[in-house]
Amino acid sequence: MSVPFDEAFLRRLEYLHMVSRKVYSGKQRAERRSKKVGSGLEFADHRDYSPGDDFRYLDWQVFARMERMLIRLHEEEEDLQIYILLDCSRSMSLSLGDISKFDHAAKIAAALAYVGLANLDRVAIVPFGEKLEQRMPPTRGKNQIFKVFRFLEAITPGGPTRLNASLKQFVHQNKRRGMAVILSDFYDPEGYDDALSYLRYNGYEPFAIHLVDELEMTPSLRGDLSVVDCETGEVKEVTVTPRMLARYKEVHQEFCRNLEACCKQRQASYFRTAIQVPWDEIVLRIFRAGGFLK
Amino acid sequence: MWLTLFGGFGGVITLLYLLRLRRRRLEVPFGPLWQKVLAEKQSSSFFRSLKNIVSLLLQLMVLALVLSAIADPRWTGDLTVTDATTSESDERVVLPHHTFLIVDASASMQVGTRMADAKVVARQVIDSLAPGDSVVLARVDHDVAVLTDWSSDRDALVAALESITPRDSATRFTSALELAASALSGLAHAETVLITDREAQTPPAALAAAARLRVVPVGAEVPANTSVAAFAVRSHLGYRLEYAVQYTLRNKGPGRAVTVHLYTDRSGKAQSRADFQKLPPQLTFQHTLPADAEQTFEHAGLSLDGNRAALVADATGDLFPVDDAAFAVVPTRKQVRVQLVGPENLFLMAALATRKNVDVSRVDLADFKTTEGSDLTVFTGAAPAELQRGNLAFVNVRTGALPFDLGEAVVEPAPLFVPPAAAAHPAMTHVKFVDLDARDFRPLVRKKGQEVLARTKKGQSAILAGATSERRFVAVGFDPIESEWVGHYSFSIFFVNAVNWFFREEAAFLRSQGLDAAWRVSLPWAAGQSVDVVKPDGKVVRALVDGAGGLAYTGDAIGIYAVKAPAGTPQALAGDVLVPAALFSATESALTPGLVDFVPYEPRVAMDATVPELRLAGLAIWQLLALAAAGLLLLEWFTFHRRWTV
Repeated sequence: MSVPFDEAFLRRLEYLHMVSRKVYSGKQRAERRSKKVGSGLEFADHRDYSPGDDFRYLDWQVFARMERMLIRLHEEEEDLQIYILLDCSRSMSLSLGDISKFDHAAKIAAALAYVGLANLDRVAIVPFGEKLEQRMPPTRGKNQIFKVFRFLEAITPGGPTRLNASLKQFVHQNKRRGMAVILSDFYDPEGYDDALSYLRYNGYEPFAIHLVDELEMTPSLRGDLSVVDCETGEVKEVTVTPRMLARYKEVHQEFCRNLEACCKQRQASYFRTAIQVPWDEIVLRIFRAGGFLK
Repeated sequence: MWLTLFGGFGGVITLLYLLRLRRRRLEVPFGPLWQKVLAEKQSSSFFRSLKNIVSLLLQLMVLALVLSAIADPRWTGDLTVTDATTSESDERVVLPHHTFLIVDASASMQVGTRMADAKVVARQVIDSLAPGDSVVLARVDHDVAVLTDWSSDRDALVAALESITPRDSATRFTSALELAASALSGLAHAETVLITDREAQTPPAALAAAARLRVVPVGAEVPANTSVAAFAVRSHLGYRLEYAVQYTLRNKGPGRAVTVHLYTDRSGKAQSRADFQKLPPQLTFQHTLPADAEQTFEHAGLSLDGNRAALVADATGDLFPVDDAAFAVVPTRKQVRVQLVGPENLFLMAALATRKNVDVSRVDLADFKTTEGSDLTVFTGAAPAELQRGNLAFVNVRTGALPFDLGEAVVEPAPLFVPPAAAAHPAMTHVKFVDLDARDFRPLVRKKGQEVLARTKKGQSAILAGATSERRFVAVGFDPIESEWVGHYSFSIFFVNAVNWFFREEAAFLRSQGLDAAWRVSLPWAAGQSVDVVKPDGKVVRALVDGAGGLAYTGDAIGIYAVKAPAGTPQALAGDVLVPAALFSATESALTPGLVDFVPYEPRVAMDATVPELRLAGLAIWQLLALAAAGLLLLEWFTFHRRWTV
């Protein structure tokens, strides 16, 4: 995969911030609010004075009005942990047109990583398929983007999709919670519900980016076919008729709706995008329109 | 045949259909989606199989209909026509009928009204054609000629029938029946109808059965007939300026007096019986033939005036004139002009003089101009610088243009002998070498096509002979005088033989050919050359000299056939080759109908030719079948593309 960004495009991305609905604690100061109350500028709360507290944080105005000694608490801004979970199963690499879902997902992952790095967030890229693959450790700083590119280039997609097993393994390996951006087609015969629930239950903020291929939704097939599942190898004999194609489209749309409903039910952000839409347009427009970027 | 075609094409269609049903593999990203669709939409496997079979059956039905349309079926089931000669209640089923009609056109059909009777019967066969029937008309004499293709056109058939005229040749049914059997093979309601006077050999019963032969006899027996069974003219054995004539007369019926006229023609133009009978007979002989007998007569010491002869036997009341005449070529008594080129050679002149009718002249080489005007030119010692054409002899020639090469001179005397293969050569007849050594000898190196007539023990050629379209030659490679060959009797005999070979006097003794088979005539010209054959009636046909230097030909009229020399032939070889031909067939001359062992022909009753063709909505059966096939094809296409039948 060649480097997917030119210099002008990268510069525009620098001004975008990742939106996070929750505040996570971090080890380093950054531009994010964290659960820690500290020396930030933005007021957070009051608490009663305890001996030993720094008098500089006493709210003298409250003491004058209510004669209570209260300490002003400020939110401390810290860095955000962003995990980009990239589906690299066989279904992602199957291409019905000029581009595969994996290529598209890799470019989006690179763009997201760049945004995160430029905002001094910690970005980790975690490929998964049947299980977690070798991941790119969390890193920060804009100059790390080429490391991201090299990592993405080295990934070879293949194998089946096991979302449950992969995400459970992911949760167990990472103690720091954060945003979990899942780039996948969600084609898992075992389903995706448990995986999303598990992420949510363990304190991650899931972002489901559902990549669909319009050629998959409306295939131009006709006649007698042996349909082979690219991941399981299961064969189904089909005689494709226009009516059957229409029904297939309905089933596919139902699959997408179910996934979206599942995400909403678990308060996970959901974005569906076709790979026929240019990836830079997705990053600049669709994500912003969807509230993913600000 | 149509079932075989249907089986073959049906197999191909089934194979293609199975290949079409073979499913294309397609990899999809998520099989469960398709599984969900299939669980709702796919019909049962039984119904799917049934639909597959329906599509295949539709295609096979289309094939069957197309083949049926091509076969152009005719309605034969309950269509009835009224017999033109019977009452309306007498209805018969019409079946297409094939008839191979053969009309005998041999010489015996010239007797009386036989040919006219045959044509009347043939007309009856043609007139009895029903719609759908077809006929092939053929003429047979010693060969078979097919005059029409399978035809139902009565006018065309009658026109072809009227063009048949009897030939002067004998009858050979075999080839005609083989052709008929081949033509009728595989056809139902077919037969061969042979109209003949039965003056022929009975064909094999198996062949007659294969041809499904039925015979229509015509002609009654002729009680009496006189014919010439053989005729030959040759030189007198003792004195070659006189001739001997031999002929055989055959008499059928009671004893009778016969007058035989011998005609000769010196103009070189008479070819037919009519040509000769314009001339006064040169000789006339009277004979009385006993009943049913054959006698041979010979007259020697005759002086014949001309080189063409005809013998005509004249008997009162003879009904069959074709076999009364025979023809012959009279051997020409020509003076042979021999030109000696070189120094005086009395031994050679004496040897040539032993043959009568030889004129020998001598010129020196410097005075020699051409070989034209000489029947033979003999070069001694040297030859001209330019290779000559015509009949040539080279005796101990060492210089000049030669048709062969010369080897190195042999100093030692070399004993000569005649190779066994050369003993049959005309120039070596009665020639043997006893104690003869070649001296002053230069071996002759032969070229392709030349024959070694004498050689030494070491294989060196001493005498050569060769013949091409331009020249014939003999060559002696040693000095006959130094070798003392001139003292041997073989010296004279060799040169006399050579002159005879060059002059081809003996070759003129051609036997008269019979008109019951093809002839083969030897010609003095090169293979592949085109020659004209002038028939007795003056018509000219073009023929080719075959690889063996001969001509195979089949005559159809009695008389003398003249084979003209090809253009550009040297004068010495340019004479016409004459082939006398007559009907020497005892069977034809018998004029007695033979026994008929075959099923006699019963003329079919003439049918009303106005039987309407069965049509529906103005369309013939094949058109209806084709339309049905197109409709089914459209239906199959429509249902296949909507996945109703697959």
